[in-house]
Amino acid sequence: MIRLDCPFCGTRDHAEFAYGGDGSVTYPPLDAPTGAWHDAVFLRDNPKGRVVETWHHLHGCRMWLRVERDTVTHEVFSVRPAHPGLAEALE
Amino acid sequence: MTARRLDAGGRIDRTRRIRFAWDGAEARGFAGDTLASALMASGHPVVGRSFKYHRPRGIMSAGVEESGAIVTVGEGARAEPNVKATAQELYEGLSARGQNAWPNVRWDAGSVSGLFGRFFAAGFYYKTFMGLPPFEWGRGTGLWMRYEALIRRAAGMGAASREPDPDAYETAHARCDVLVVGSGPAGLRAALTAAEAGRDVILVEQDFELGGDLLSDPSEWAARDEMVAALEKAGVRVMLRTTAFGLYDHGVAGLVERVTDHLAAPDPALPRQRVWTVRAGATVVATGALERTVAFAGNDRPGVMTAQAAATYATRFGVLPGERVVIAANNDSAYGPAAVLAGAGAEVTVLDLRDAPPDAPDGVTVRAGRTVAEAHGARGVTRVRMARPVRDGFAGAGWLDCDLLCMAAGWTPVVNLGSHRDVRATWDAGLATFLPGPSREALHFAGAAAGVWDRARCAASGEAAAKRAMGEAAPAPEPGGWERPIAPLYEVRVPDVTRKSFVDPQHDVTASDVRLAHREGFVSVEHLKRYTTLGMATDQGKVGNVIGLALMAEALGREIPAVGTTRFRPPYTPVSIGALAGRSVGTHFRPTRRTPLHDWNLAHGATMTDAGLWRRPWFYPRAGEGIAEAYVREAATVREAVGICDVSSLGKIAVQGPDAAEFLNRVYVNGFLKLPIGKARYGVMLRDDGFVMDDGTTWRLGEEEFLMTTTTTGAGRVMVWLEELLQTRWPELRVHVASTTDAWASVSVAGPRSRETIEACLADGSDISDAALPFMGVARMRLANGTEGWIARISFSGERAFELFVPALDGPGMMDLLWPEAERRGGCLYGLEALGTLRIEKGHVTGAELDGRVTLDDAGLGRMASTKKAFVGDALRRRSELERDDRPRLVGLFPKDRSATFKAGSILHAPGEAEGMGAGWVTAVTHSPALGHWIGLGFISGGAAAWDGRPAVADDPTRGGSCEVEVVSPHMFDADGGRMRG
Amino acid sequence: MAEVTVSEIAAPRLTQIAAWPDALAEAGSAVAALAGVEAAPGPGLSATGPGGTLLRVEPLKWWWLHDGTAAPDGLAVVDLSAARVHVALSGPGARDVLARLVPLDVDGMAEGAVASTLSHHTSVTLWRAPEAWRLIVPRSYAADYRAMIDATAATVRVGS
Repeated sequence: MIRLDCPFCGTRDHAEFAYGGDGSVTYPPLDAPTGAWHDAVFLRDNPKGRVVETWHHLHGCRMWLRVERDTVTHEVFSVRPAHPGLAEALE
Repeated sequence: MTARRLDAGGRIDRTRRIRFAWDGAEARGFAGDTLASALMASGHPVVGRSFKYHRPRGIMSAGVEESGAIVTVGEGARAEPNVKATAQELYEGLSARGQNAWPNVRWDAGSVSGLFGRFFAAGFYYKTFMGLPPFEWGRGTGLWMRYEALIRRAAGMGAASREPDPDAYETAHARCDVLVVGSGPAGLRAALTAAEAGRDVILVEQDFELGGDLLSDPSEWAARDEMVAALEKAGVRVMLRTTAFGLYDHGVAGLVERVTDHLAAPDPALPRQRVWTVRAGATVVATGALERTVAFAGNDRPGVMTAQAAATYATRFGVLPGERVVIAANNDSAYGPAAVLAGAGAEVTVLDLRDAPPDAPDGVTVRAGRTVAEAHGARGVTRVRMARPVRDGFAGAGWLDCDLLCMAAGWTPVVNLGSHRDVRATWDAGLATFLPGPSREALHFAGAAAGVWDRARCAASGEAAAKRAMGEAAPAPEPGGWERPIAPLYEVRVPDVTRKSFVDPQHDVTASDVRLAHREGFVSVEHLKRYTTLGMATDQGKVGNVIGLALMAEALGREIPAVGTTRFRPPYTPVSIGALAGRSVGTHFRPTRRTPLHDWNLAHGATMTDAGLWRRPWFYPRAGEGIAEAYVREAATVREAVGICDVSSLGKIAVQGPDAAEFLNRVYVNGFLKLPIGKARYGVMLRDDGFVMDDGTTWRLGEEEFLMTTTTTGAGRVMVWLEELLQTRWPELRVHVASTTDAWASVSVAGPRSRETIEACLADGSDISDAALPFMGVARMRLANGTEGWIARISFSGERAFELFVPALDGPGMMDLLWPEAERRGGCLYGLEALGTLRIEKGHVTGAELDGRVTLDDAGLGRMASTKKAFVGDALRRRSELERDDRPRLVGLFPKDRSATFKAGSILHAPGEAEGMGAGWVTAVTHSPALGHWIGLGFISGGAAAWDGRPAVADDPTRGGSCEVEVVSPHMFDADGGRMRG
Repeated sequence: MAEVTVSEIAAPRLTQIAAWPDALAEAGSAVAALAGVEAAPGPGLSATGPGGTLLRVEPLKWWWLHDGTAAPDGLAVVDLSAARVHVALSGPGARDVLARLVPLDVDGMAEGAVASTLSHHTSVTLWRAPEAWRLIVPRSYAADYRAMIDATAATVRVGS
């Protein structure tokens, strides 16, 4: 039972969230070539340890979050809004 | 064992007699008894039969580690097997019986399997009849299957009821600053320390009274009562009969509270059990330690139990377990129980392995340098053989008559909860036990669980743990507490004795099984566990793990710590699955979503069905109709007159903002930037990987205002996708999305008479002529009853059709206007089945076709893709494998023999080529009123063009049946779509 | 054992108002003016004035509970009145009912607090209104969810 510290809602159980994906991926422009999209969609490093993920606070404030987490210990290092404008708005 | 109830003493309430049933016969006890203490006092030494060998078993402990007195409690649907009689609170009318025995535990016919014990050693299951002597001839004969079924029936523990569980369960949530698990001296002190410092404390105790060890010492009862009163005054939340079964990430604990298992006639509104999820700032584990036994021949006989348990029966429950007691000890902790039993009137002899034992208490005989080698007595111990250490082991040293043999071979801290959180246990050679190591989390061990054996220091240990839990530095008392050191002992073997000595009594794992595993090459502790099943019974190795490790270490020629330990995993003790499910059972396993027209539909004769989480009308049968007659009539009526269908469950998303059009333009494959206000457009959206995600119509209601519709089951997924795109990829777009699925009641009114039906229901001055509201037009609408909403000229059925949207609560009122007008024009209400028929005839795709494996081209929609703009999924849909000519393409299917039928899910293949995955599959079928025969939709390699003139076969190997089909265009009726327009 | 009262609030008006991230302060002022309060509420809070109540449910969104007037320009407005059912929970046992329903620190929610969470597989918004706790539930889930509330309240009325 991982608990995530949503910047808007506070600390909540992971059941309120849906895992998004690899937060380190930058998706190319929509008109980029197939090769660039292939790499962004299918290639993953899958490290053991500290990763950046996206999570969606689906049953809370519906904010998309960027989460730094250790996949072995589940320690969560940071939880920030994915949308840069929101990070400012919440200050 | 000749146990008897003592005349006085114990915490039982002798004024409250309790009647219960054991194996069908009436028995008596008192309030405060456990089932075990009451059985003991009633003269039932044999209460169980072992797993494999059906050996008679008695009461071996006074706690949840019990491995002998495992019984079935309750009758019928409430029968619960594998209950530890030692942990079952006695209540009036309790009904319990022995298990794994026939006719009963005292005279079990299954004990004959003990005669073949030689063949039932560890691993026999995998080896017999599978190629090894002496039954190697059985390999490949299938004999294993038959003998395996026999073995399954012969071996085992209790049998579960097959009836549905009649009880309700509940889940609940709590939080606290400090969670204290265990209410012995350490736990009580920890809870009080934290509470008096102002913290919010929850104290959890699996027993039905607070006190732990203190309950077994009458001299402590007054102090214990004072502590309990102080806890209440300090505001500690006390949870009795509650087991902390697991610790999880981020300070979360799982608890199961037994709410009514101890009540004779509980209020039916109460749940039987309640599972709590507790979020704790810090946790103190004060779970105590379990006394260890030793492996020796006959150590599983009824009448063999741990020493502290024997004392507990005398002091807490007022039952003397035996009159002539032998205590085999290797440490100081035996002497307290020795004094207690002697004081209660038993003749007590202590065999202390050490040469210089403590002084004998009054009435106790101590023999130094001795231990026990064998216990004899078919249905209870009658005598034991002593042993004395010799150079390479032990030698026999005479016999003692006795009726109770107690073992005091050391303590094993209950570290399980720490193990759940990766706390490693480290071996302490001086104490001959595993102690919990450090934790990186706010997890603190206290008392005997931390290896502190004396009571005063247990309390200090609890106080220190509470302080550390509150973030203060507080050194922990050193483990230990014996005056004289322990003499480690795990097994006693004397030459020429081959009778079984048990390491894990619940699974009948013997010492020779452990050595066999080692001989066969299973040298890792993980393999030892799984090959012998040691530690895999309901006690998860509480009794036998350390002995097993010691034997393995000896076989390997290494020290115990080098052998390693397996991890304990939740639950600490078994938890009913029903309790974990809580209220999410039956119809509440998933939520049921209802449309605003739910009651109206039922009142008008709908038969409902499930569509995802939704209940939707399936068909509206008239008198004498089954589903087949109903849907055919409904579909025909729509094409000939008019029909009304509740489509409220479709996903609806408000898309608003200056960049809304741009956003939709990126998300859909076709253009939305220039969609005029007052028009709707059918759109398809792809995933990043180029496959179709969902489809629907999106309406432009204003310059910056759109209403997107999705499929019913895709709604949630699409909403999440849109939010992901806006927040993680395109934060520069000024767009807001909001789910409005539940805000609207919406219906499709379809058929040649649809326009006149609706016109009759609109407010004066409304104009929905073809000129005012052309195909795909959207307009504000006002009903004759004043309700305002939207009307969109959209057709899924292929007929002239309109979708009417009104605020949810106005839905029934809208239907009360529409339905009489439709009925008067020969119309009908229609449900999902007829809706399916109409769309299949037209070749319109739904989730049955767009199942996540299908591309735009596969679905025949390739021409929708814009060539003038970039959109999600465009790059990866152009992968060469996805553009192959032989990909499965959407087709229509007619049975070659027009009177035949075929099923959705059938595999399509060329005649004579029924192999592998075939050439395609059938997604949907229906009788077509328009065409007069059965039709279907499906996918087939290459599409209709590749099968022109060639028959295919629709094959259903699992349900049976195969049918020759013609492959045709999916647009099987009104292919040019003229009926929707005008 | 504790008394609990469960009742549905009839047809309240609920308008969702969404701000742009770079204009949050202005949106806050506009929304505050609608409700007649000094300032728009921050995360997890509410504010009540003569024009209604504002619930700050998302970083950029407020829910305005009111009796029915227009909303300001420059903001994304959606009428969710019909899309939600409001259930009031009051009495000494209300807190215990909530401890069973929602995975929140209910005791830590002061009067006026708002939180959206997951309860029995349903997204719900819990508001500690002055008169009673209020659970705001999507209409399509409401009948089912009400059954859960009622069963839980029945248990709490009997005790534990």
